[in-house]
Amino acid sequence: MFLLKVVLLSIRHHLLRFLLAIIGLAVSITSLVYLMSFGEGARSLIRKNARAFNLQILVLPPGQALSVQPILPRQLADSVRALGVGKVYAVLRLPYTGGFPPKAVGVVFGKDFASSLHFLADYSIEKGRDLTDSTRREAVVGSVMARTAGWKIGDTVVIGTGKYVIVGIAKAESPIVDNAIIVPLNLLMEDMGTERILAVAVAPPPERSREVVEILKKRFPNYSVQTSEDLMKLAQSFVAMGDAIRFGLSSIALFVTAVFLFAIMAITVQERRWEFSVLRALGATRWFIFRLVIVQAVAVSVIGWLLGVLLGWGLVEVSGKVMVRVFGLNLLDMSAGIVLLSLLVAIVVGFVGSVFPAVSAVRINIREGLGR
Amino acid sequence: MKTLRAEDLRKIYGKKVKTVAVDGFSYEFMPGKSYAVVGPSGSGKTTLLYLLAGIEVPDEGRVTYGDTVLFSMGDDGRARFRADHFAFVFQQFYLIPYLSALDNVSVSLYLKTGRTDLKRAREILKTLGITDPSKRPYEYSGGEQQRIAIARALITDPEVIFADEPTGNLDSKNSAMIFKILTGIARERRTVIIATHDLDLASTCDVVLHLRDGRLVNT
Repeated sequence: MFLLKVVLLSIRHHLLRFLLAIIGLAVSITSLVYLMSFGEGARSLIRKNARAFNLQILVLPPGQALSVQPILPRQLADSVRALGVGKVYAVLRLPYTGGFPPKAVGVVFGKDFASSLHFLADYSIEKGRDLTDSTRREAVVGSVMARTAGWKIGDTVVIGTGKYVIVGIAKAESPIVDNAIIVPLNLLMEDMGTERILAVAVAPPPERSREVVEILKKRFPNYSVQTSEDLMKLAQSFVAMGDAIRFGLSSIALFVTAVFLFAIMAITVQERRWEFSVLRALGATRWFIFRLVIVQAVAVSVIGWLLGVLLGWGLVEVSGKVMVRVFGLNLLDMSAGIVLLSLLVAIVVGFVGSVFPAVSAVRINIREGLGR
Repeated sequence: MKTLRAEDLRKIYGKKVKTVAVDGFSYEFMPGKSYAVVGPSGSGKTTLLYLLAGIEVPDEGRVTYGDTVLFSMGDDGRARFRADHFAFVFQQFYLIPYLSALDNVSVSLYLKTGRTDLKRAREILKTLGITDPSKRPYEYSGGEQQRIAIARALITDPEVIFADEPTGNLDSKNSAMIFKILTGIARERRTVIIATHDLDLASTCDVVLHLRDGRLVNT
């Protein structure tokens, strides 16, 4: 404790100098926390959606892991259904950006009335009622979408060339469905002027999952058959790739901070040569002097980390609120893992930035340091 | 009773132009006595103190304290030995500027034992006339700062105290007071070795050692 007291009093004594290092650290840690929160938010969204979606197998266009353009014939769903491998759902969705500037951003889903599955993910009706007729131009909107767009029951929503009357507000566990508009599939296809769908989702009895995959692969060799696990892995790998890129970007700032800290610590050690020499003359070992310099740099780093985490947390909170208002989804999630990672990074920066100054402090000749 | 013994110490500085700082110094310092090492500037007083304390390594000769040969130990071994048995008082006081008088005194005990004893630190400071130990060094006069430095030396209960020109930055009144304190400490069965160029003050010590060109010329 006494060592820490000495270190903290020394930081206070050279406050302006160390304040610059603390600010540098705080900015770097803020950027690290903020950027890494994107990955954590995406991971959290994937987890929530994976839990909420009923689909286990997807039949997709050949050679594709994910599909963005509707290029599969609608009849494919009927062909899969005829195999009797489980509940089958024809998937068609498109991005929705309503208003200019956009006041609601989300997804439009087609509801497949031909399926025995209620929908791709479970939802409950919060207000109004569910869709009941595939021929009526009616829509159910997710609660977040309704809130951000300011829609209520009876309002009209325009999708492509079609106009739909909102008959229900849905609440779902899946953030995507909470931010979606659900309309009858056949009417959506009509409005989009297409006879095609994005994918065919299959929810087989759990014990037949593997068997159904094999059946589908054999029956439809020209299509891509993916399990929800495959898709999860794919999504996770995309997020991990993003994490690596974001961490790389943060590392540039952290590297500059480490160099900055190195310069500050080197100057400090130069200035405190006599102090280290006195301590050595009084009986301090080289290890004690080394520790003194390292602990000081790490203490500066930890103070910077604390500030950076607080700033990052504030930024994540504010950005999250803005995102929910604009997109209906919060892509940011500052987990305990990120906080711990940033602490570890701050300690490493403190250590790396001070190890050479600490070695030079250890090597000071006592007599020269005392100027005698 | 442990004695501090120097045997044929020799220290040379410089590679191209060689300066002999200490040349064949031999002497046995006894506990309970105060020693003044006197001589003109450059006579090797400070180097001798640093050699005796194990801060500088001699080119020849050896220093023993009791049965321990100082230079048989490594650098850190000698540092630990200094913390356990020796203490140092400097001309420029060398108090750490951002620590209070109390913390400055606590530093050397922390180096020796890994803990502090604020009560004891306060008592020693009070004995030396420092009643408010919460202030930082620049808030004290030169004489007070040197007394804080002496308190820093005493808190570890050292057997040998080295003082390098302890009155060099003080007026005559404070100088006399510091010498009185240091020679008084010797009476507590400690060895006190003071480098000084003030012959009047040196004469208050039990033994005066005269150095010239690094050689002991007279006692």
